[in-house]
Amino acid sequence: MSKKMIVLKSSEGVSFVVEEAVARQSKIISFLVEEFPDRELPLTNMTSEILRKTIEYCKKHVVEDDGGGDSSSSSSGDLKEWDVKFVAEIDQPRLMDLLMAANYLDIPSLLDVTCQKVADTIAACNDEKEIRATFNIENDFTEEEVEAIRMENQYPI
Amino acid sequence: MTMISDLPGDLFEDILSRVPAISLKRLRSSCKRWNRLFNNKEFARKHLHKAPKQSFFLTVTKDYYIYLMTINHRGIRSIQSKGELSPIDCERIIISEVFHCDGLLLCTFDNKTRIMLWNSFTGQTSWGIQPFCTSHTYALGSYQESRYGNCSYKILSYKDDSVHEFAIYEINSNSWRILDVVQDFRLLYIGTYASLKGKTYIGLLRIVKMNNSTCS
Repeated sequence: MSKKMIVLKSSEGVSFVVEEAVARQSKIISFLVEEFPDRELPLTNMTSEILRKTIEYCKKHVVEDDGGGDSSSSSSGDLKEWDVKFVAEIDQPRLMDLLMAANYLDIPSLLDVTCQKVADTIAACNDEKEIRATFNIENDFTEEEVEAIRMENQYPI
Repeated sequence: MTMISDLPGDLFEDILSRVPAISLKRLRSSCKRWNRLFNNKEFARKHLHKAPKQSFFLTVTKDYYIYLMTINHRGIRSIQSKGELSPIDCERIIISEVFHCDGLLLCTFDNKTRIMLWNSFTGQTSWGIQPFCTSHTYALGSYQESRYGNCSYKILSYKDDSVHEFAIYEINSNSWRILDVVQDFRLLYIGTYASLKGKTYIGLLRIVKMNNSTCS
C-alpha cells in the first residue's frame, strides 16, 4: 500500500515531500490537508532548516499504525530520551525558532519539549547578567532599580 | 531569528512557570517585563501548579554534621538526587537541637550556649543571636510584616519547668523580649515541635490548669 505524500514549502521555496501521517501531527497541517487536498502547503514563516528539524521530530513521533503491532513504535521512555537529545543538539537561537514553529503549526508535544528546554536553560543561569547574555535581553533597569529589587529579594538572614 | 522578547505572552508565561522558584527569584532583575510577571498573582498561581517541586532533605550524620540534599521531581520517571551539598561550615561542635521553618534552620550548639540560623537556600549562616537561657528550648516562626508585606522571623524561647517562661526574639530588632503570659496552666510532656506555614505547633500530652482540672 503506497503512503499518501504531501508537499510542504519553506520560506526559501524549498519543497519537502512528507508522508501525510507524519505531517498530520501538526493540527494546522491536518486541517489544511483536508481543506486543500493535492496542494503543496507554503510555510512562509519557516526556514528550510527549521522545517527540516520539525519534520525530523514528527517522523520520530509518528504513530505507525500499518505495522499491526507495537513492535515498530518506540517505547515512551526511549522517545523521551530521544527528545532530550534532540533539543540538546540545537543552539539557543534555533531553539526559539523551533519553539515558534511548534506553536504556529500547533504540535503540542514539540512545543512542550522546546518550552522545557528554554526553561531549563533559564534555570541554569546563575544571575541576571548571564540570562541577559544568553537570551539577548536588553537591561532596561537603572542601577537603583536593580538595587531595590535586590533588597526586596533579601532573605531574612 | 526569534528572541525571547518576541514570544507571545502566554508562551512566555508558560516557559517561566516551568522554572523552579529558586532560580526565578535570582532572575527578577533581568528586565522590567520579567519583574512585572513575577509580581503578578495570576502568574504565581500558575507557577505553583506547574514548576517542578523541590524538596530538601536534611540529614545529620554520626559525627554531627548536617548535610542538605535536594531532590528534583521532574516527570514521573526521573527522580534524581543531587547528593549532599557542603556541610555547615563550622568546627566540630555538638548540636543540641535543630528546628526547621520555611527552609531556615535554627540550630543550638554546645548545650545551647550558641545559636545559629542557617538559610538552606543561600547557604548563609548567622551566628549573631545570643541564646536567652541555656535551659530554654527554641522554635522559629514567620509572619507577614504589615507595612511591606515581607516575611519576617521570630524565635520563641521556652522554658519547660515548674514555672514556664516565654521570650520572643525578633530577627529584625536583634533583642529578646519576655512574654507576659498569665501562668494559670502547665504544659505536660512536651513532645515534638513542628512548623507549618510559618506557625509553630507543639505536641503536648496534656495542658493542666492550675486548679488541677485537665483541659486538653
